Parts: sequence; C-alpha cells; structure tokens
Amino acid sequence: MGQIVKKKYKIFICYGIILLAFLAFIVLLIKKPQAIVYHNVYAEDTSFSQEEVTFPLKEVVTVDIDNIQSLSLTIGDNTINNYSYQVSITDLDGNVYFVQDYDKYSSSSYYFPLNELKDLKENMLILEIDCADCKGIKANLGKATDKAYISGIEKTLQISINNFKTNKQYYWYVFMLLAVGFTLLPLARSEEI
Amino acid sequence: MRWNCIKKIIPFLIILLLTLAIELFIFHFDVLMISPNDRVIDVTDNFSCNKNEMGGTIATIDIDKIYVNKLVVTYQSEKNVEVDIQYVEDDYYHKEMDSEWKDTFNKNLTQMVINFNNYMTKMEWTYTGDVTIEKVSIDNQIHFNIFRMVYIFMFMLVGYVLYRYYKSGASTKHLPVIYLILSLMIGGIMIFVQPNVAMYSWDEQIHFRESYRLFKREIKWEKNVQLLLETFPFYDINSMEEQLEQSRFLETQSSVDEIEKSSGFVPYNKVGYIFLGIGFQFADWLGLPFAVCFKLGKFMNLLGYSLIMSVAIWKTKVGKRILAVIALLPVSIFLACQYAYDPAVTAGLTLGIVYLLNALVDRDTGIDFKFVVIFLIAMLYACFIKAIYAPLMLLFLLIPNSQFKTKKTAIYTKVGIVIICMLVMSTFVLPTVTSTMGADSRGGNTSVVEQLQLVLSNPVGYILVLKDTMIKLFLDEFIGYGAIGMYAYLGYISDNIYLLMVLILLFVSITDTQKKQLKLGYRLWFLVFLIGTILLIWTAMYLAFTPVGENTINGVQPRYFIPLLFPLIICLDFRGVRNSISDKVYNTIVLGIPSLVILISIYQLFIIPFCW
Repeated sequence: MGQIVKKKYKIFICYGIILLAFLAFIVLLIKKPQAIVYHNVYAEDTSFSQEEVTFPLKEVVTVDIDNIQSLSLTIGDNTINNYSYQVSITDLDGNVYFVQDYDKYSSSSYYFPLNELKDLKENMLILEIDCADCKGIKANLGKATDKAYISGIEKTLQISINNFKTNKQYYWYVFMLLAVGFTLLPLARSEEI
Repeated sequence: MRWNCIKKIIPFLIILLLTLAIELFIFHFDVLMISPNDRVIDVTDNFSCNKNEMGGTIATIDIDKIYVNKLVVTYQSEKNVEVDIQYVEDDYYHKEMDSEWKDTFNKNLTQMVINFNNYMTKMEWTYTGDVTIEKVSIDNQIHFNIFRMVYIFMFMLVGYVLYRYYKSGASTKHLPVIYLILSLMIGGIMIFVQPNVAMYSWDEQIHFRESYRLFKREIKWEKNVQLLLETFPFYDINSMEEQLEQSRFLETQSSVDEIEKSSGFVPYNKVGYIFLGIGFQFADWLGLPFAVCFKLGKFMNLLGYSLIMSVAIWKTKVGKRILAVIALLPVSIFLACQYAYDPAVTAGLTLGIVYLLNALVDRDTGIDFKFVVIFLIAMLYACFIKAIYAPLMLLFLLIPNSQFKTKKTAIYTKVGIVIICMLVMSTFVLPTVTSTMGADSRGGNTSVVEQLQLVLSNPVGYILVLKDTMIKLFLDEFIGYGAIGMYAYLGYISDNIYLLMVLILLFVSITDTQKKQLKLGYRLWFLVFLIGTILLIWTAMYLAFTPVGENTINGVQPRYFIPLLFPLIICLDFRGVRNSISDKVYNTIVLGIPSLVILISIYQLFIIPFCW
C-alpha cells in the first residue's frame, strides 16, 4: 500500500501542475488585461542626421491605462552623464510629480515610482530633461542610414510606462506549466504499479 | 574522549595564534620599532593651505623624515572631491623618491585614512572643492586589522583543510564536499573583505536593485539602498577605517525615501536573483545591520552556486576533477560573491549537462521521473535567466529510447522537452522577430531591427564579420584573462597566478582520464550544439549591442562561455593519456592550486586596495 502511494504521488504532482495551469488561465481570462504603453521617442523620425540639441528637452507622453505604478526612463547615451542635469515629470497644469538633480556620472536608467498619479486629472505627462552645462550636444534624430555617431540622447530616449501586471508573462507561465506537466506525466505513469 | 576533542581544537588554536603573530610581528614590524612618543603625532598645524591660480587648493605638510604608518585626515565636505597627493618617501635604499597618490574626500564620510607605511619627508595635496580640514595626524599605533586577520586565519585554515584531505587519502568520493567547503571559505573571505559597494561587478547596481525588490509587495526604497544604487558613491574606500566608517554610515541611512507597490510576482527572467533576494531579506527580517544584509545576500548567492556545483561534481560520471577546477575558476567565484546572476546560469546549466552526459556515457542510467525533473529544473533555472542557452536542452533527444521505461514514454518526453525548449526560446525570438525588442543603447547607435535587416539582406557579409571576430577572439574568450582572471571593474589577477590557473586547467583537462567516455557520435552532436550556442551568443550581441553596420561584434564577454567550458572539454578525446598520479596527490593539487590562485588574488585585489 505504501509503495502504491509512493508511486502515485508523481502522477498527483503532474496533474497538480496541469490543474494549476488551467486555474491560472481561467483567472487571467476573467481579469481585465492592462496595457503596457511603450513610447520610443523620435525613433521614427527620418528627416535629420545630426542636430544640436536644445535643453530643456521635453516629451509629452499620453498615458492610456488605468493604473500607473511606475515610470522608467532610459537616457540612451552616456554623453549626458558627463554633465549635471535635472529630470522632472509634470502634468500639463504644471503640477510636479517628480524632480531630481543628478550629478555627473549618474546612472542613465531611472525608475520612478509614482504614488500620486492616481490623482492625475488628465492622462498626459511631460518628461523633461534639463542640462544647463550641455552646450553643443549633437543628436542623431533619425534612423541611422549613415554611420553618424550618436552623441546626444534623443535617438534612444525610451520611455516606458510600466504596469505591474505583466500579463504576457503570466500567459507564458501558464503554457510553461502545461508543457512541464504533460512532459512529466508519461514518466510518472510508466512508473505506476 | 575529552582528549580527542582537545586534539581537534588544537590546530585551530595554533592557526589563531599564528594569525596574531603574523599580524603583530610582520605587518606591524616597523611600528613596533617606533618610539612611544611618535605613536600619534598631530600635524594639523603643519598642514598649510593656499589657493592656486585655478581656484583650487594646494596644501602642504612638512615633516622631518618621520615614519608614517597611517595618515588620518578628519574633514567635512558637501561633495565628493578628488585629491591628488604628491609626496616624498624613502626607497629601499633610504634615498628620497617622489611618489603620487590619488584619493577622495567623500561627502558621506568624515575620515580619510591613507596607509603609507614608510618614512616621509613632505606632502603636497591638490584639490578643487570646498573641504574643511579639521585635523591631520600621523597614526603609528598598532591597529589589529580585522580584515587582514580574517584573511590570514582563513588562508591557513584552507591549507589545513587541504592537508587533512590529503592525509585522509584525498578520495574522489569526498571531492564534492571538500570543494563545497573550500568554495564557501574562500568566497566567504572575498565577501567579508569587500567594501559595501554595488559597483565592482558588471551591472551590479541593476542586479542589486532587482534582488532588493524580489518577493516584495511593498518596496521601501531606503536611503542606504539608493546610495548603493548611485554610480560610484563610495569610490576610493582604501583603508580598514574607511570601510568600517562606511558600514556605520549606511546604518544611519535607513529613512524611507519612496514606497513602491508591486505584485510580488517573480518574472521568469528574475529567478537568478532568488538566492540574492532571500539572503538580503532574511537578514533584514532578522533586523541585522544593513551592511550585514548586503553581504548576506552575496553569501547566499555563493552558497547557491557552490551547492549546485558540488551536486554536479558528485553526480557526474565523467570529468569530476575537470568540473572541480572549472567550479573554482577565479571569475566564477568572484561573480558568485557579487550581486550577479551569472553564477546561477553556470550552476544550472552545468547540473543539467552533467545529467545529460551521465545518461549518454552510461547506458544503464535509467531516465525516470526524478531524472527529468532535476534536468528540467536545472536547465530552466539557467535558461529563464539567459534563454540563449535553451538550444542545449535539445541534446536530451540524443538519449536512446531504450533507457526509458517504454518507447512511448521516450517519445512523449522528448516531444515535451522540445516544446519546453521552444517556449523558452520564444522569450527572445518573438520580440526580435516582431521588432519589439530594444537594443542596448550603451553600445552606441544600436538597433535590433535594423541590424537584423542588414544581416538578412547580406548574410554572407555577416558570416564574414562573425568569422573574423571569432578567429580573433575565440581562444581569448575561453581561456583568456577575461574568462579566467578578470574581476570586472577591479581589474585582472596578476600574470603569474593567471598562468598557473591556465596550466592547471589544461593539465586536468588532459589528465583527468576516466573509464567511461562519450561516443564519437555524441561528441560530434555536442560540438554542433555548443558551437551553435556560441554563434547564437555572438549573434545576439551583434544585434543588441553593436552599432548598425559595424564590421566587428561588440559586447561579447568571456563569462558567457564559462558554462560551455565543461562540455567542450569532455568532447575532447585524451584516451591515449595515461595518468599514474595517485588520487591522493592529484585531487589535492586539483583543489589546492585554484584555491591558492583565488586567495592570492583576494590579497592583491581586495586586501591591499581596500583593507589595509
């Protein structure tokens, strides 16, 4: 009797994994999916090769999701890290949600938790980078059809509005659990008494 | 009975006494010769400051050939200010010689301690910034250096462990356990002597941030965490006193700056942070000081890596000693002692490949439920972090069907493995194909989409780029400095010990002969998949990290190939070599030399720069 239970537990594990996957799938179907907005600044412009950048650099981002949990900002080129600069996030009415000064050599990738955005009146934000000492920085604003070297920040300024519900990963986990469960099931069955 | 207990303790007592003696009589020899009147000399009055033409400060100290063990400067500064120190000291012949030292007035610390350990005549300090110097004194007292003493103690303890292993016959059966003990001891020293800085390893700030966030639904970003996440907040910590002050300072910075909400869900590509996160948060939950939490995170990473590798060494039926040496590569141990997920990739892949190799070299190995579970857990643990290694899972298909319970089971299992492999690969193939994968902007003018378009429109051109780059860098990526002896931003281990490590790796690769061998057909398949994976890694970096249209491939780092080293060596055939060295000597050498290399590197790259 003990041996039968011992052998059968492997089958229970496999069915348990498969059941977990189905339950997770049902939960995901019921839950409303929340979009992730990804906004790649200037990447689609094709008209310029090199242009001098004027600070402050501003980008208006439309936020079209229900719950914003955080904002991540990547400044693509390390040139700006040689200067002291300021990053700020405001809405169209001038309400400030974030402002921070950065010394030179700071990281070029930032993560901002935005606890107060639930009070946002309009779904639009202004991301601004100001660099008083950054005179004469040239930036490649378009797709690089030549080999112009990027020395500014605009080409690779990527602003992604993150929501903590990364639904695509959940679905992937469901498929992975199903695959693992069904892979192990024949092995468990073949060891069944 | 009591005498047996005492006999076991005696070696530790002897090592402790030797440690104290070495610390006192070797490292404080010059200080012991100093007259008691010269133990502490206040030279604040001798420190005269003037402004130079550029608005900076030049400060000079005139001292009449006094022995300076440590110069202690107490100061206040609102910003980090770099200082250039020109000074006159004695050379080995007691003649005067000019020397230079660069340091920093760190805004978060109040003391700068410089270890000169020599007779000095004059110093000139040049810096630009607003720094208030409160006191300057020469400290010739005896300070027992905790970091150095722990290092000396553990160095001798490692030697004792190896001696006991040798005396007991150095059986290959005990190799995994001895490896585990040595790895934890040596890695433990490395973690203990490092300042609390998240900048020594590649992308360490990112890895620390992700480890800190793991499992939490409410993430409290404390000031000390933010300090560690800023680039170079504590560069130039170069003495024991500064390190200890930094730890105390971090403890005072526990105010919460921001609170972030999270689901607590662990994405698949963050599983490499599990050990790091558990270590840090367990210590935090216990209420331990921040510096201890930071170090415990690293120690758990080391523990996870060492445990998995020791299981791999225990389980493998081929190349036990080869695997032991690879597991003790200086780069691997260094990364295991940092906030990094490369050790997780190396350990997981190694264990999975060991199980595969066991099934292929030994036809009696039955493929059962437990085998596949362990294989899947190991491979998925590594491939979730870096999906580029996923194709290696397909080597499972080489296992003969006769090793399964039934043919039907074999087919279903293999189909399942293929589907799992495809799911893992979809995590990087789909974003690339659908143009949603972003390039790494640190590489310059990068674009995955444009680079892929270029490669597809001109495949011959890309093949030539790949061929040229690989021919130039192939050996370097596997046994070059970067693969064996590079400690990221801390630099390289010295030439002598690097060569010693290369020699022992080559020696064990050739001489670790075993009764069971991989058949030629399997070797060829392994080589195909390994080379395929290597090409994938190069291609991935060409797409993501190399400016569009470049004729070389940027961003490929030798640590990406460490997990492939073991299967690559196993594919080589040295059956003609006869090894008549006894296990007793062989196994001790195999564990002893890498241990010695790492210990010497800790002294050169950690003790001298950070802990003196």
